[in-house]
Amino acid sequence: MVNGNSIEVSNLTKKFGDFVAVGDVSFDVKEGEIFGFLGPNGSGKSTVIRMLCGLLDPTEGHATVAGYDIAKNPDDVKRNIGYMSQRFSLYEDLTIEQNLDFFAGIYKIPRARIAERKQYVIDVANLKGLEKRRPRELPGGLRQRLALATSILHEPKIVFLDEPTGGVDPISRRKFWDLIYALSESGITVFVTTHFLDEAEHCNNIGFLYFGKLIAYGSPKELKTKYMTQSILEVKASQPAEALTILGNESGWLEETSIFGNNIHISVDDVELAGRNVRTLLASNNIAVLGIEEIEPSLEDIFIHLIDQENKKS
Amino acid sequence: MIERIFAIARKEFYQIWRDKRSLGMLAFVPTFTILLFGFALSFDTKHIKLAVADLDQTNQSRQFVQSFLHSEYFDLVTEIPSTVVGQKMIEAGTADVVVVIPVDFSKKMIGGESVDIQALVNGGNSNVATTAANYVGIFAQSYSSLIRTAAMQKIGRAAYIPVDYRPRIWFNPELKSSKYLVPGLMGYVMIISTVLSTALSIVREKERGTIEQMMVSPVSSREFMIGKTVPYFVIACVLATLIIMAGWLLFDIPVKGSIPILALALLFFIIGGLGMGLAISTLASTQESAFFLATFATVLPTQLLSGFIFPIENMPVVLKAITTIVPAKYLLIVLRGILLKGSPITAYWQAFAALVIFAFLTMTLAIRRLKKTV
Repeated sequence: MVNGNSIEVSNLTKKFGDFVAVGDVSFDVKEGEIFGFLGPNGSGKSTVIRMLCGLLDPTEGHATVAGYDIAKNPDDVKRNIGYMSQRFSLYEDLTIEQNLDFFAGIYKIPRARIAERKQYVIDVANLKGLEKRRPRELPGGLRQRLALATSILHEPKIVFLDEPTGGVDPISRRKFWDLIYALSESGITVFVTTHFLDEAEHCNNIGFLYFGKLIAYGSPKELKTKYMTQSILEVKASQPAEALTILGNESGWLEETSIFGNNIHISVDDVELAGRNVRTLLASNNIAVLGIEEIEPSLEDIFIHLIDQENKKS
Repeated sequence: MIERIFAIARKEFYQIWRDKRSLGMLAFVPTFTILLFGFALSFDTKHIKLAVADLDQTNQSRQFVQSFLHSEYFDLVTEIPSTVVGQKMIEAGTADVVVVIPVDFSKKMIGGESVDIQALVNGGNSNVATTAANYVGIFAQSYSSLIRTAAMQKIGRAAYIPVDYRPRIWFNPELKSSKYLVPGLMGYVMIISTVLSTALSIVREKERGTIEQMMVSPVSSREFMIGKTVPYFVIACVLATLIIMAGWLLFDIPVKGSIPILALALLFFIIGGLGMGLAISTLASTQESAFFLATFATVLPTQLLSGFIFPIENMPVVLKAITTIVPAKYLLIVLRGILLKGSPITAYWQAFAALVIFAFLTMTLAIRRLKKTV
């Protein structure tokens, strides 16, 4: 590790022809940290992961993973990382045990340790007694646990999880994150990409990638204080859709409007003024105001704000 | 490195074993093709349907007719009263050949004059027609020389036949078409199975996404390649051995020449086929396109242009040129040389060398392309 950092990224850039997929991205991930990597589809998250896993060469900049340079020593990087892809990538036509034997061979786990590691994976994934089954016979949540456990079969120091909880029910998701906490506590660095902002709240640090640029980086708490200079008002109205349209047309005293379920969030500088304006505006349109209150900005609010700022820049 | 290759090969074996459908195809198709081509299909023309119009009805004419029927080549359908009836039978397809013996057959024979026999042949199938017409000619000639010998003995002269033509067919005396076809079948079956199975195997991993897990692991592309192809190599070797044994036991095809050279030639051919499959797998991203490419590159060229069924010597120049890139052509030359003829390597060393080049070229191409894409 370099300075206690598992991953160090500086000025990482990837261009495909003229298209800049990843532009000048820099961040660090500490040993044992849970790092969440967010961003809309097509933002370059997968490109960053592929570079960090030694699959793709950067155009500019460099990064070290587990102390090894990704461009100069990709094989050393690969030996020290685990990876769980978005698609389930265990072999469906082999039994779980055969799958584990295969990966044990691939990572050259010493023969004396193989049985122990296999047992560990089975226990951690809660699959005792199911070793002779095939992955396709398992329900979704168990499959994901199996995939995660398999990715740490060879005891890597860092594990990359690419949207590991897609399509998984909330309870299984919860259990899955318990597993991630356990890994982190045992000193394994977890780099996870996700679309779920509630999952992002569980991370030690977050990076938000928006079309190749890292527009936010820090712990969830830091992000809420650093990036949000405005306040969020939650407005409950009798006709939320119309209210949203009306408020959306306003400018000056409010920045962004968005809708969360039946509630409208608006970001404003002056809470008092905004409150008054909302009441007047909605009343004159015959919409009843059921409540206005200031709330703590959620990560989603922050990201929407940041995206808006980015779009305004371009 | 060995450990990784072993892990990959072992997994591949499990998967092949598990995929009973493909396994069945892999075993069944060669067996079926060989049995079919060896036993059922044949270019041998036997049991030609013969109708005879014996207008003479004498001992001599009946003797003449009998000379045709003593072999498997002609089957007498019926005797007919006239040429016209004979023509109708050919048109209806109930007879392939009609032989008409004129009414003055025995009279001319006894009188020492030459007799004209008429043979009507159904030209619809030109292969059969040519052979049938030839057979009629041969039988007539042989009867003719028999009569001539007898006549000469009567007047005290020794039998004298101007040109005594006795063909001796080497390597395949009975002219069994199975001996001609089965070696070609070997090449056909083996190139298809090696190319197809390797190509599909890798593309399947691409399609299912499991190849990504491979790329992220410390497995090198070389280890991956070797591990993936080892099982198919083993299967192809077993297949080749079985086919040679089947050829020997079922079709009387011996191994007259050098067994070590035969083994080497087959080895290079198999390696070349595996390389081809690997190269194709880098071009296709779905199993369907891999199947299409593999089949296109092997089935038609081998069937039509390897000399398997259609002799290359008879082809127009352009096609002959194309046959230089059909690998099965070279295997066939070596196979026919070693199995049927027992020739030494000097007779077919160019073909052998071509096989070595084939193996080398495809493997290099495959490695180079795999490094880029995997």
